[in-house]
Amino acid sequence: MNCLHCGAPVLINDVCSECGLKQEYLVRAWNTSLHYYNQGLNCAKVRNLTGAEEALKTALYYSKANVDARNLLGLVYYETGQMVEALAQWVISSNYQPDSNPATRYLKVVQGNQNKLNGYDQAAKKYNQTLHYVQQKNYDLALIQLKRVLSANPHFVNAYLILALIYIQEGNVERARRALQRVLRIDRYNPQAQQYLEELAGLDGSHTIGTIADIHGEDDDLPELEIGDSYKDELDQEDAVDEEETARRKIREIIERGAAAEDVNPDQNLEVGSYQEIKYGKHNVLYLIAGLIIGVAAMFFLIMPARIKSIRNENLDMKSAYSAELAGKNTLIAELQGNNDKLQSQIEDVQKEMKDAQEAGGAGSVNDSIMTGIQAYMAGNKQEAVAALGAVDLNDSELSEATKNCLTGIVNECTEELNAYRSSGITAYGAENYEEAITQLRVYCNLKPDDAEARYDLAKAYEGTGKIEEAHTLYQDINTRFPDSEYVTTSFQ
Amino acid sequence: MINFEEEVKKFRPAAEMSQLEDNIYKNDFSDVADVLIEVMKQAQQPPQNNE
Repeated sequence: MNCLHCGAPVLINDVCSECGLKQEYLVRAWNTSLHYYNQGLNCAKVRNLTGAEEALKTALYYSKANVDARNLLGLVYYETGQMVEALAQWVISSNYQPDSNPATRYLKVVQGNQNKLNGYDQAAKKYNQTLHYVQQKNYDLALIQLKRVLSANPHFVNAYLILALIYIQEGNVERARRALQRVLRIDRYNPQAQQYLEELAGLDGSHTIGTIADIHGEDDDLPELEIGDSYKDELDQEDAVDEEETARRKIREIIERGAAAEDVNPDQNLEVGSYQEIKYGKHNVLYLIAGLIIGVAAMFFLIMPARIKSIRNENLDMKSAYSAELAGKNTLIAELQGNNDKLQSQIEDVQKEMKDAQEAGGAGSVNDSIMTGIQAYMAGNKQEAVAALGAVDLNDSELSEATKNCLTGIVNECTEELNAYRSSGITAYGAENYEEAITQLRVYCNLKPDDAEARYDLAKAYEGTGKIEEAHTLYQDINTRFPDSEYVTTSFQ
Repeated sequence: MINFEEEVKKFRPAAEMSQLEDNIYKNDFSDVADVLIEVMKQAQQPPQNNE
C-alpha cells in the first residue's frame, strides 16, 4: 500500500515511510473530501453553482489532490464567466494527474481558440474598468462597457449583477429584474441576485422573486435584455449568446454526468461551435489567390492602358517627325527636278543652234569643240568637256548670247576641273615652262575671260616664248576691261 | 433597501489572463495532510523556553 499523500510505501504500523503521516487520517480526510465533492456535484446538477463552488472548495481543503473536485470547480468557474479561475483550476488538476485527466481536454478546448480567449481577457479588463466608472458614478460609460463585456462573455454573472445594480440605482426596475433573471438562469440560487430581486419585489410590491419555473422558462417568455435605448443591436448579442450556449451545452452535460474522469470519453471531441479553430492555412491560400487575381486585374486595368497610351504617343511623334522630313525631301527633289529641266532645256537650245549653224555651212573647229564639249558634259565626263570647250573663247563676240549662257552654265558646273588648268598653268609659268603654261592657261582664260590675273600670267608666258603680238593683245584686253586692276600694263605701248 | 455604495464595494476586480500564474500559485493552498505534516514537524521540535 502506498501513502495517499506522497505515494511512498506505508509501514506496517499504517504510517508512511516518507512523510510519516498516519494513513487513517488521510483516508478520513479523503472520504470527507469525496463527501463535499458529491455535495458540490449535486449542487452543480441543479445549477446551484454558488453552493457547488463552496462545497468543492471545502473538498479541496480536505484533499487538494481531489482532481474531480478541482475539475468540477473549474467548470463552475467557467460557467459563471470566470475564465482565469477556471483555467487555474484545470492547470493545477492536470499537474496532479497528467494522464487521463479531462482537465487537459478542457484546457485544449479553451486555449485552442486564442481569439475567444483574448475576448474573455478583454471582457475582464473592461469589467474592471466598469467598476472604476461605477465608483466615479459615471453610469453611462459603465453601461457601454458592460454591453461589450456581456457581448464577449455572456455568462459573466458578476457583470449581470453590477448591471442590475446600476439599473436599480437609476430606477429602471424592469431592466434590473431581467438582468437578475439572467443571473438566476446561470446560477439558480445566486444569493446576490436573490437579494436584489427581493429588494425589487419590495419596491413595487407587485413582483415576487420568481419561481424556478419563471427563471428557467423559455427565452421567449422574457423580454430581451436592454442596456440602453440606443443599443438596438441587442438582438444580435442574443444570437451570440445562443451560439455561446451551444458551446457550453457540452460542458453542462459533463457537469450533469458528474464530471468524473471515467465518465468522459477521452476520444470524444468537445465540439464547441464558437470555439472552432480558424483554419488560417486555408484562408492564407485564399488570400494569396485573391491577391494574385487583384494584382493581375490591376495590371491590366490600370498599368497596361497607361503603357499602351504612352507607346501610341511615341509612335505618333515619330510618325510626325518622319512626315516632316519626307515633306522636306520632296521639296528638295522638286527643286532639283526644276533645275534639271531648266538645264536640259538650255542644252536642247544649244544643240538646236549648233545644228542650225552646221546646216548654214559655218561649221568650224569652234563648233566642233562646242559639240564635243557638250556631249562629254552630258556623258558626265567633265574633264573631257573642259578640254574640248577650252578651245572656245567665251569672250569672242561672234558667239551668240544663248551659246555663251549655255557654255557658262556648263563651265560653272565644272569649276573644279577648270581650276586645275589654272593651277597647272601658274605652276608651269613659275617653273619658266612657258609653252605648258600657255597650253593650260589658254584653256582657263578662254572659259573664264573675267580673271585678270590669269590673263596677265598668260600674257607674260606669251612674252616668255617671244609671241609679243599675242601678249600685247592680252595686255590691251586687260587695260580695256579691267582699267582699275593692278594688272594694267603700259610698258608695251 | 439596497445600499448601492455598499453593494458596489462587494464586487472585486475580475482576474485577467496576465494574472493566471499568480492565480495558480494562490490556489496551491494547504490541505489537511499539509497541516498534519506541519503539526508533526512542530511537535518534533524541542520546546522553546520563552522566559
